[in-house]
Amino acid sequence: MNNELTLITPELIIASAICLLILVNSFLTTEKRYTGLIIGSITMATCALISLIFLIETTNSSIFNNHYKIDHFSTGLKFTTYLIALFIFIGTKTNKENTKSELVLLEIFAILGVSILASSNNLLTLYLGLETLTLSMYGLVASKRSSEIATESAMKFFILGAIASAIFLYGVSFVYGLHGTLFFEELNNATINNTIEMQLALAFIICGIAFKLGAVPFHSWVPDTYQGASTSSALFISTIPKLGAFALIYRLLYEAFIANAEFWSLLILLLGLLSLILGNVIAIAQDNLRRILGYSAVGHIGFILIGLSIGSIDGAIAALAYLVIYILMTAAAFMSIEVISTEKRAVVTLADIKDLNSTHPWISLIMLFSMFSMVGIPPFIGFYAKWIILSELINSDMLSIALIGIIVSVIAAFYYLRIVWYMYFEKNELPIMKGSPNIFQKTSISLVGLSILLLGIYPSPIINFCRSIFSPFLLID
Amino acid sequence: MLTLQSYLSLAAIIFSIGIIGIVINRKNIIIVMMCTELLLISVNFNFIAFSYFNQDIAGQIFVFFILTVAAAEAAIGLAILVALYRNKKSIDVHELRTLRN
Repeated sequence: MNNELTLITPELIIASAICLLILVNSFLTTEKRYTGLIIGSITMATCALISLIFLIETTNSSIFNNHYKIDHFSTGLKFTTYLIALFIFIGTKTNKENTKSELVLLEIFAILGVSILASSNNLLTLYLGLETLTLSMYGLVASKRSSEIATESAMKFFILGAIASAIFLYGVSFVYGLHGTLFFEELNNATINNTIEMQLALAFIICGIAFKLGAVPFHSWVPDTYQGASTSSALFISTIPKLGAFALIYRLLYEAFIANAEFWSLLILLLGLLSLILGNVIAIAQDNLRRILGYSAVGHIGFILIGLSIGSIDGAIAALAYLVIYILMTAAAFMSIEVISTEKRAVVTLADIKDLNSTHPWISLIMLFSMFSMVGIPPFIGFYAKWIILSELINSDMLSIALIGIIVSVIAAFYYLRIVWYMYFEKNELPIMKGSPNIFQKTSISLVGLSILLLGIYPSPIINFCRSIFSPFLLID
Repeated sequence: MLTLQSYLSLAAIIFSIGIIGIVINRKNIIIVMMCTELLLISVNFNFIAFSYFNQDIAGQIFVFFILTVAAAEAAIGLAILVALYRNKKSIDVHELRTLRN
């Protein structure tokens, strides 16, 4: 019993931080500017350290009557989540208007959801983690209460999310009915996995997954929330929940339903291709910087899904590496937007970043790194991300899919380079953006921005880390 | 004696009513929320039926959790609805069109 509680130390720490923050929020009403930030950052740093220790010690065990699993994958994913969250907290929450402790509270709740998702070994645990994540995301999007577009995007997000989780649950109920159990191992061993009823249930479940990732038929919330939510919330929504959705896919498809791999890989491939093409094509027609980033997120998710559709562990490793790299790039982009916005005027359209180079040379250089990296220009990490997915595709004889990926990446270069053009070569008629980052923001954004360049030159840490997360399975294969 | 099939059909009918209600509803966001509750109720029906006919208690436990989560979800949805009403002075589905490409 004691041992079981030791294994979930990160979750326990997060849960106590949540309780502490709720108390702090109700008692310190006036002078609470940095309390949320301090509590959140300390929690994330501690949890990252503890999960790193777990990762090195290679603890592998199922706890709470097999409902909860601590293995390489879960600890590795948790470690990544906590580390990224720490950077996000330091990078955005030191800003004057983002110091509301409620935001940190909701974000820590979402991180708890991701942790539960990553460790789930049972459909019930998985569902609870998923809902913890989603419900706090609704709150985050709606946190700018007085803004019309924020509440509208939150409402749309809420309605779509509620429908998606109901559809997901409908699929889960059929899985339960067909197998008579909720545990992943038993779902995998059953022989009924290839019946038509099971495929129907799986299609329902994949609808839910596609919504959580923001893949194409269910993507409309992504650009809406990126536009409507405050920049720091948008930064959070574009990074951490994607890791949660990856854990969802991995736990469900790779562990529970690997016997159906032929069926689901087809569906995932279809979703991936649609997202890749539509996301990147629609992004070309946008003028709003945040919507561009939203549609580009849909396009990147397409790449990740295509990597997952290979159905092998190598494909999953490539997809996870792509996801981590994408999170770095999008974090750099959103942090840049965040630090140049002021309380009165937020960066919304492309016109707002005209001639950014003359006022914020360092920020616009980091934005340039991020954009070049998203295009996939060689010295940057984004090139490496695309390369591992494409080489995995070619290794598994999916050459035509790889070709489509390359062509769409070339098309996508247009709108990324347009952002760079606006920053460096357009004359500015509007009043200049006056936001001035403080020392924490500068450190955080510089670290993220430089890692895009340095990891691009020397990418083995990322791929080695992703490989080590999946290593027990490599031994089995 | 009711069979498993009749329970599943009822759940499927409720689920369809929920989906159709969301799709053809042209008036009011509260009706959309009621329809999402219908969707969750049909899922609960499925779980209870399967749980009874499989002689396995896990499904009924799942239903408790779904009920709790549905309540939390409705609370958050209504809170967002109030915030939206304050900004727009309307809860018409047609008014949700500020965000466009």
